Amino acid sequence: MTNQAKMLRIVAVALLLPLGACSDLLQVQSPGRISDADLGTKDAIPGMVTGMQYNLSDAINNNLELTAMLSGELYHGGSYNWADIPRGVIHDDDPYVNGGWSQAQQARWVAEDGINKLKDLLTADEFAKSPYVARAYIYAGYANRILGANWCNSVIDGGPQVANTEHFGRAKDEFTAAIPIAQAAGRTDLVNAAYAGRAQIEVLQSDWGSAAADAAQVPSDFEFYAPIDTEMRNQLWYETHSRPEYTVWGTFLQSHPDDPRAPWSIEYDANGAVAKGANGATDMYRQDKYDNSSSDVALSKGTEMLLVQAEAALASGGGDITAAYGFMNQARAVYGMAALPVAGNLTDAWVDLHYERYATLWIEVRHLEDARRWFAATGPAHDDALADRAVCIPIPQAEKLANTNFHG
Amino acid sequence: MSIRATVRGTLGLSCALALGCAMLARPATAQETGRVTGQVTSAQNMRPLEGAQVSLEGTGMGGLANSEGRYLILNVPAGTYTVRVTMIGYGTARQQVTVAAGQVTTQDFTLNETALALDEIVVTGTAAAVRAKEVGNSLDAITSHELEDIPVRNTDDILAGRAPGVTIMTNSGQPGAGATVKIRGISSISGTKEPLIYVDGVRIYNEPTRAGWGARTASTPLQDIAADDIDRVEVVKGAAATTLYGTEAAAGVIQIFTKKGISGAPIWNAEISEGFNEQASFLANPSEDPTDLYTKCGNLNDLYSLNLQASTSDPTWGNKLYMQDPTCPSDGTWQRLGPIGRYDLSVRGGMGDVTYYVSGNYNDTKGTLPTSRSRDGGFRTNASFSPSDGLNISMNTAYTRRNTRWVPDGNNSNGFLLNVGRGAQNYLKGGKGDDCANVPADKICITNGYLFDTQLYTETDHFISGLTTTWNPIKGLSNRFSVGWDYLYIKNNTTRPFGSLRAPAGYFWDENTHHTKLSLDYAGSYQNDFMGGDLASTFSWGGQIFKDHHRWTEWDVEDFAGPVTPTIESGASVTYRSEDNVSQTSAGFFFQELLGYQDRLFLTAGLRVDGNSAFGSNFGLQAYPKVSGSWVLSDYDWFPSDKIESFKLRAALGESGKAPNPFASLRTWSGVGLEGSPGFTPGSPGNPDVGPERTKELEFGFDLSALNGRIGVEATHYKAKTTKALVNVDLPSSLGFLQNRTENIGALQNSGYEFQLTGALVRTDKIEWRARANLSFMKSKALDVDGDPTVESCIYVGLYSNICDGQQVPVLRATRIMNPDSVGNPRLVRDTTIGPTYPTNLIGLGTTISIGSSIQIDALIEHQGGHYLPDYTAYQNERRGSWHPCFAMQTIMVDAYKSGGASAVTSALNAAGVTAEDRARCAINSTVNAGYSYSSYYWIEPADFWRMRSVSLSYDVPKSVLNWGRSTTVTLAARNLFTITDYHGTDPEVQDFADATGNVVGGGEFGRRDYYQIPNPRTYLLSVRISW
Repeated sequence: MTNQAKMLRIVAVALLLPLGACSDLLQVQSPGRISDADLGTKDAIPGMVTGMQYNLSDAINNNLELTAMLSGELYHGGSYNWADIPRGVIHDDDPYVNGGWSQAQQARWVAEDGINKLKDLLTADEFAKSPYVARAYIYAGYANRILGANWCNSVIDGGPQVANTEHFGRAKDEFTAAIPIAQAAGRTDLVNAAYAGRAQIEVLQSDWGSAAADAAQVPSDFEFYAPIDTEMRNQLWYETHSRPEYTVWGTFLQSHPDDPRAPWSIEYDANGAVAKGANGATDMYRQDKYDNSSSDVALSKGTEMLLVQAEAALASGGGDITAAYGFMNQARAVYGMAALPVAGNLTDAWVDLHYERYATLWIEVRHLEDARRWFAATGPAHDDALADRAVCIPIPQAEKLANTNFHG
Repeated sequence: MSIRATVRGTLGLSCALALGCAMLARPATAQETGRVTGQVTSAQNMRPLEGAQVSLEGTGMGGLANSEGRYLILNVPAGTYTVRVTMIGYGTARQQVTVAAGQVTTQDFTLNETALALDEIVVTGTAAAVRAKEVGNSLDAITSHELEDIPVRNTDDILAGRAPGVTIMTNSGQPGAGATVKIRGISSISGTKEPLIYVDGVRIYNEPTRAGWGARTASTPLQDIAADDIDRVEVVKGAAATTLYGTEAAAGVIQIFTKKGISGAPIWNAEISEGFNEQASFLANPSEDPTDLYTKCGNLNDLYSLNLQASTSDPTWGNKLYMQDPTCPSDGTWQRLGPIGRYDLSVRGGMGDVTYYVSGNYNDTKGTLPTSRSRDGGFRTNASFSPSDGLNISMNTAYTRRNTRWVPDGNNSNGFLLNVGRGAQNYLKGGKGDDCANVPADKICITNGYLFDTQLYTETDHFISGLTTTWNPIKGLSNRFSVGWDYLYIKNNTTRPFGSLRAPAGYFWDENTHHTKLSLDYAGSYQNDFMGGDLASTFSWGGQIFKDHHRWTEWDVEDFAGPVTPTIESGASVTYRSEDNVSQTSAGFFFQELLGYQDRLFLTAGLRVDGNSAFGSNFGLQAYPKVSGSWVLSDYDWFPSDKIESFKLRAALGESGKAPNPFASLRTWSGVGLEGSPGFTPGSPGNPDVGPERTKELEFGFDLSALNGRIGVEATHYKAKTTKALVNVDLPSSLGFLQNRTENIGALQNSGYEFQLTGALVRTDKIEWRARANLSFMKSKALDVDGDPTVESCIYVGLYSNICDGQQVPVLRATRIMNPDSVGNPRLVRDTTIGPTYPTNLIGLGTTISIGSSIQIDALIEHQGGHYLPDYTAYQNERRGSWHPCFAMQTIMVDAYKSGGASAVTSALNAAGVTAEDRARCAINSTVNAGYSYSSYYWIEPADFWRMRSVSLSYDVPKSVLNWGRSTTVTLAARNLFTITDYHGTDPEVQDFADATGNVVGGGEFGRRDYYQIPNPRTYLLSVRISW
């Protein structure tokens, strides 16, 4: 064999070997992640629903600071750049606006998308009595409540801008769907959570009759929480107990130091002086409602339902002050607090109701919605706390830039 | 398999290979063959030229000269041969010899240094080893000869200032920290931008790896190649040169070749270096701060901050807050001299057809702050065996272990400079127990000594092994097959022990990262002549498969029951845990044809085809073409070669790519846990259409050597355009997936000029003075960052860095003071471009003076310029009244305010000498300086600098003084002796790192900032190198 022939044979073999194996060599391989297909089995349902719960907890945890700053529940004493938000001025490109929005939208999308997956995976009979389905509807409802109650307007699934009230309709439908499924599943806790959620929505819709009726279904000692574990870490706990970022100093609650529903304490430094926040200047009055990294955040409570009934009593007809104080004092009794004296007029009654809700729902991503609707109210229900302040959170600029419906 | 088991296994394999090689070695057939031997020396100083390549032309036989310059070629069949000797940096020598059976033929060579050696063999960027004259793109090679007397620790040090177009930014002065490496700037909008790294043909992991959260810096795999083991480093720049490396090579390629064995008796080399680090100052411009950012902590009168954080109605507002630190070291400073010890031992030799190089090293470097220390050590075994004519098997194995204890650094509430540097406004006041009992009541008691309670460790094990078989079965045909395995394990942990000041219940964080890269690489080539030898053809082909596996786990626990050794298990609370497990495969093949006409005109054309796991399912193979040419005009008779002995024109046009991230194509979900229950949450949205971005580059230039090799010029212009650039596009959050989607929608271009000038300014029998200059001027422009060329857009890439249509990639954008020197309020322009984030101009000026054959002086100064750096150190200190350079202006404003009565604010602002810039940068109060106070925007400063990278004096001890061994060299060297800069922070090169890829959290892949980073220290070393 000549050298040339020998060379040709070697080259041919060298080329054919890798080419022959090409189909395997160039296979796309990306193991280690969970694909959409992996969620397409019944075995994935528990994880899917836990994921919805996780996203809801994440959403409420990521909105604790933003809503507390904007509504004035806490004051900024730290080093983070909150721009003018602590003064009640908010823009769509301000820091932290997108974070709260994103997590809330993700919680909504995951739950609503998950419900569609559950419809595909379960038979109609299974679907109608599955506690997982009930939970999914409830998580979707609360996610919609967070969005509708706090944002000025909204977007659904990358679509055009819609009114924030769109979320109220979705939430109400979802809570309504959850109730019979939870009942069929024998899950009283979920039934209560659904009634409580629907009552919250009905308050936002000023549907006082329905709100009072649903609230009445919920026991006074009921509590439904967004669980937060040490890995997720309660954000307000971290920024007040691990870092001195936010303070009660300068807030409405500074003049209410001993309310067990809204506990806080004054921090002192090693020299006995009042400790300063991370900005080095602001006195550090530390919230103690969330006193550890895994403090859960309430989504609804029986005491809140009593206050719903109280507010319904004041808001309906000419206002039933006696009934309202009955409910308020029932709620206070749950916390071991003395009864309030019944006010002599509606104006005073509303002031008391405002405070009772303020203290009961303090730093639970709830006060902005209350302040917003009371600011919009006329008559004795009106409250001026948001005068010259933003009443809601704008759709963040990031959503507008990414969403073609906003810029064609 | 544990790393130790792996090391043992591979060591065993190495030994078995060496033993097998020895057993298989061909018996010498002295009756039919002879030997060729001799010595290769430098014509300039008569020093032996270790590593010179000696070959018998046309036979494939040859070897390397040993440390005495001696070479030996065995088993040479009787006959007449041309011996060719080449070495990078020297001209080629040829001599005809006749070998007689059973005889030894001796032929000595002296090589002349030359600025341009067209016959030297290069590997980089080519399918097979070729002569430099045949290559159409620019070449940068740095050899061990240039480095042996210079204080370099690793490849970062080697490249800094020595290779045009290569930017090395040292990032941190902490021992163990690695540098940022960019080649020809930035050619991508997103994705990995690190150059590929090959060590002896084995591709290794090339990303920086973070050194834990608390250290805020990163290490790089380049640090794991011991400088003493490196024979040469070749840099392949730009897509035109990296085409054959395919997808992922657009950011360039760094090829490291380690030392090989040399036939002959064993030659041992030992080097011992002792020295120290010294932190001359923690500020780039120390003259304005007598406390040196409060690192001088003794009983100084200047140890105060201004009380600017009280209310202006407080009578103490603006007063001096004096402080005392009872934990301050007795000598009144946190600084110390950091001892350095470096120890290297190697042996190289060969017997018959087997050659070997074995080395070991140990380095112990302490930083200039208590607890700062990095120790590393390892070994290397390079063995080569030629069992038959045309067949060579070589195995290269190296293991490096590094253990670094970091000082908490950077933007970290437990960081050293963040706390020490903030004076009275730090996080460590009051101490424990009666720490402050003796501190006067009118002083603030600070206890920074507790900063060193935090224990930050990084341990790495890096194992690189490659087996390469070269087979040349017939004349002209060569085959090379390599199997490579790279394993890098990084363990980071942070401990704040039980009872520590800032975490009384204790805290423990642990991170483990495993990177494995398996590579299979085949390349073949066939050379043939046509037209009576006028036309030479080299056809090359080959293919590679790379399999990457990355596994990462991270835990965060706290609350320990007592002063136990913290472990994951002993913490009462698991506060964070995460895991990642990713495998990625890429494969490709190439063809290339090199035609040479009359050995002076060369044309190369090639094609690379790649597939990659990261490509989307709707995306197929990628093809990258290249074509290049070189024309050696100096080989023509008409050329004035008496004045210009070598002159080559070259041009290259080629494409390369960059793959998207592994999961860019797939829609995925992530596993999460909530109170013990597992769940799924949206991960990556995925893009099935995603593919690699493509960079097409044209480069051309010339290489020139004149005046008998005394002057050399290499000039290159390049212009590159990246299309289908990967851009991470934000999706509407309302769609549920919060991660970006990677899309091929961007475009950008890069261009630049590179010059390498070398000259022998003086060349006499006694003295030679050589000088060299590397100059690089880089310019880039983003053409389209969002897929819509009709709209001018910016993408934020972190820390005020943006990639904006029509501007350098990337640029810092912020608010700018338009009237800095005028008296009045600052006139601000918001969201405007300040300047580039990365240097656009690089200058390396080096000189070497050789006196006789014994003394050599070498120095290298580097300039980086044209860029800016956010100085958060100044910004954060100023707003806390702890920035000395502002004290004078702030005091003037405070005094004027206090005496200003009803018009206090006006008085403060209009105080004599207070400019608009002073009002903004040295603001005293957010009300007084309303509307412009306290912004880091004003502290984005030009970061141009000149730095003395290295200077050394070496002395070869004559035999008349020390008649032992083969040679003894004593070297006195220093690094970073001085820096000239107008920058005001700690160091214009530093960077605040943090995340898993070594980038700033929230900073994308581009943002840089100085945030209380420990600057680069001066280093002094005395070394003794002995060969025997």
